[in-house]
Amino acid sequence: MKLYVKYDINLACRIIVQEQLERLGIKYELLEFGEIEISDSVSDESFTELQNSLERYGIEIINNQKSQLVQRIKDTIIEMIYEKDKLPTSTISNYLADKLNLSYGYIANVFSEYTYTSIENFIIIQKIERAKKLIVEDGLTLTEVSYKLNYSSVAYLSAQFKKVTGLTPSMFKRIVDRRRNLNQ
Amino acid sequence: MNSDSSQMRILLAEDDEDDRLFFNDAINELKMNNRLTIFKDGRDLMDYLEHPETTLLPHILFLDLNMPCKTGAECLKEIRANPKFKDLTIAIYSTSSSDKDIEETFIGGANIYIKKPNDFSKLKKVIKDVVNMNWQYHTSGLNKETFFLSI
Amino acid sequence: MKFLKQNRYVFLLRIALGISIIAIGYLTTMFYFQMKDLDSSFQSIENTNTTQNELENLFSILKEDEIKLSNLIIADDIAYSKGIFSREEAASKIAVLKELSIGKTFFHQSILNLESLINKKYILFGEIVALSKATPYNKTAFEDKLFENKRFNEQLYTFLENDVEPNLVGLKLQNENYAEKIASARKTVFILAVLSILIFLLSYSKMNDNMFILKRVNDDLKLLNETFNNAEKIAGFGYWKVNLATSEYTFSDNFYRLLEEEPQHFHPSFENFTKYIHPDDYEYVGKTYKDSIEGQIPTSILYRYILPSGELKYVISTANFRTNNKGEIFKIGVIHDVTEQFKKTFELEENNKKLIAINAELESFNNIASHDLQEPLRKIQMFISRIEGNDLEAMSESGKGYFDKIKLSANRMQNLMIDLVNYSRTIKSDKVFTKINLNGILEDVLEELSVNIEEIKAEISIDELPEIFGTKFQVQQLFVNLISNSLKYTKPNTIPTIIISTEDLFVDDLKDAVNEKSDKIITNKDYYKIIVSDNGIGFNQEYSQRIFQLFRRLETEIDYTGTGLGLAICKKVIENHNGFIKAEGKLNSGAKFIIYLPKVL
Repeated sequence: MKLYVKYDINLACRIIVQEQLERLGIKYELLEFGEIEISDSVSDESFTELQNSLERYGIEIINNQKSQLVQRIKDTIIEMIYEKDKLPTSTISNYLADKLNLSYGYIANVFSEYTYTSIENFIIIQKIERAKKLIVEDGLTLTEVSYKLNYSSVAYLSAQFKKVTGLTPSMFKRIVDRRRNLNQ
Repeated sequence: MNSDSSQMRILLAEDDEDDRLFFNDAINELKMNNRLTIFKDGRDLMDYLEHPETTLLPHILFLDLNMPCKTGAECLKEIRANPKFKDLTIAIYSTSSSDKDIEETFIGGANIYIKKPNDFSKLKKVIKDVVNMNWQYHTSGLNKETFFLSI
Repeated sequence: MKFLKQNRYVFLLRIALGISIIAIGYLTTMFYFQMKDLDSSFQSIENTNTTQNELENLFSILKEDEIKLSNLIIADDIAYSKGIFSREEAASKIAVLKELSIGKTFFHQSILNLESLINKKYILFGEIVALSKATPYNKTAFEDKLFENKRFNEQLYTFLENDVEPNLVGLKLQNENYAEKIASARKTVFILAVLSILIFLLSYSKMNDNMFILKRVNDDLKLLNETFNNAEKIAGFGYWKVNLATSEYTFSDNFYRLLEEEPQHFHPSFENFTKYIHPDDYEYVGKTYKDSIEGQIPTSILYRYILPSGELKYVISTANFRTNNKGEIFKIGVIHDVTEQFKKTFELEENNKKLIAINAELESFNNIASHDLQEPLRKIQMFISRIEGNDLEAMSESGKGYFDKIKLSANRMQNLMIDLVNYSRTIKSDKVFTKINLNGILEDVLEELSVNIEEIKAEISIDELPEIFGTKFQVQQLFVNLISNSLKYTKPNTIPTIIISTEDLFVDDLKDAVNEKSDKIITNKDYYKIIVSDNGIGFNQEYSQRIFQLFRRLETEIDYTGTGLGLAICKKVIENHNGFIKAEGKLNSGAKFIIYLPKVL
């Protein structure tokens, strides 16, 4: 007799990966879109074994060099935006190229290949994200925020904020405040 | 996003036939790896979401406001009241409203407000930007609570 | 109207009166006594005169008798002897004299002496007669007797001279005062008369004056009364009062007229009046009246009359309590015919309801415009874009042309709808004004337009602006429209500069200012003056009023997108805020929009 089977490939793969990781005793966190967070302290041996066992199922661990680079780019950018109180005056491209010791063209390509967005866009999104934090958590005025994030003027900050979120900073703040009041 | 394992699960709740058509065509032309599920009204949507067999949560829900039986606003309220859907990005998809109304939907728990565009290419761009932005929030550790986007 | 100043005047008058009475009394008394005195003086004079007369008569009798004696002697006729002498007469005269001299002791004594002398005289007469007739005629005895008679006469006359006469004279002297007395009595009378005349004249003149003033006051009062009556009539109110003690009512003429009756048509009383009150209000009126009388509470009530003609009137009766200077308490009231006002208020309320209904209709129209019409329009545009994407190539040339036109029209309609919705939002003015910080609003406006501003790198400077009263979203729309225009109509190759400033008013500032709704008189002190100016393409000053008209666009604007509603919306917002707007422009030199907003509401 015939059996009719329906596959849920995604589910199957996920479970396989999970099982393998558990077998090897590797702590993990399943993220979206084929990303798994594992601790950096996995030994090369275990890593190789993981790679091999997954290959049997046709599951490939992607060339992690590029993904690591992307991660580093992200980290650098975030560091640039968050940890230094003022952003560097030299252009972003130079800064990144210097920091990562690679040509900017290469960096940009790899980045967009993996994240489907440009570095510039990513930076803008991150800056606006920080602006949001500064407004909501630290209660800074727009002038202070624009200064901290190295915008040439409040107008420029407002413009970019509106472009990214579609809202003016004051509207944004109002919404957050009212959300908070509701949740209390 | 283009790999098989990372399919974007998109839901649309829209009662207007033409708008459903537009949305569907737009998503198809975008050639993103996604699975689009369409509901004709709020009740069907909530039934699906709350169904015990629904284990894979969608990534984004596009929610029309003016629907019979159950309006978008009611759905929004119900969904946000349920912690199971905490990570669900909700994009309100509606005809234009005043700033005040838009504000109210954000306060009601929506992440995104989309004014239905009057041009197909604009629609494609809107969907692409929304999906993209959502993915950024997913992958770059951005704060979902302050995720507001008005297009 | 002046009233008599009583008090001080009356007091003086009373004193004067008192003094006058005393004076007259005194003078009269004095006169009385003087007259009495005069009377007795007169009596005395009369007495003296009579005495004198009698004395003369007596002596003339004596003389006559003397002559008779002589005659007798001569005639030697006995016939004369009997009763010839008037001894009785003389005796009676003496008796009279005796009487007259009562009270005058000396004189009386003289008279008594005289009496005895005269008695002696007649005795002598008798003796003489007897001697003359005696037979034997004794000539010597007779002559002795005659001689005795003669001596006696001398004695008599001496007595008369020395005794009676002086007494008489003394009496006479006493009587000389008479003239003086008359004189002083005359004086007294004169003074009395003069005084009386004076008093009389004064009183008369005073009375005359008083009469005059009284008449004048009376005239004034009459006039006042007439005026009041007329006023009553003109104003349509009637007056009534009731004496609480006696329950006596008074109704004014117009009170009756308000009831469509002749004045004093019926006897003023509560029962007669209640016939005219609307039966539904009767209880209410009666109760209120009773309660107010009990507690002496002033009242003001609205109720209805039903008149004999069947007509319905609305009246307001206001009453209060007063006490007059006799201590009587009155309730006095005024009844005012408010039927007209009532009708008008009713009309107003009806109109109001209509307006609210119309407003509701307009609102629903607004909703239709904003949502229901936009939906199919959006679909049209979507399908246009689908055809454009897929099937346009396959169309004929003419088809493509038509298709283009369809697209343009649809887009124009889209823009119009957006502006129309904005416009209708400003027409519906809440009139609920709050304090607005203009600088705050402009910050929001700049945020809203930030993308645009960044794009063209416009430079915007804003002064310190005042606080005004208004509707926030409308004022925001106003500035969004003005600044959008400035951002839109920029000169190429120039950095767009927009300045928002405030100024003091000049004398004829508001001359050309536009506000069709306002009919207020403009006074310069009352307005803030705010200016939005740019350095764009400007406009021809001759169109400065036209640009505010609905859908009006100038030739210079054809190349730019726009619906022509932006400035009309601005004008509407300004009108809602009771302000004025005017535009100044010069082609290629930029535009200036001057807004006047009231300082206080």
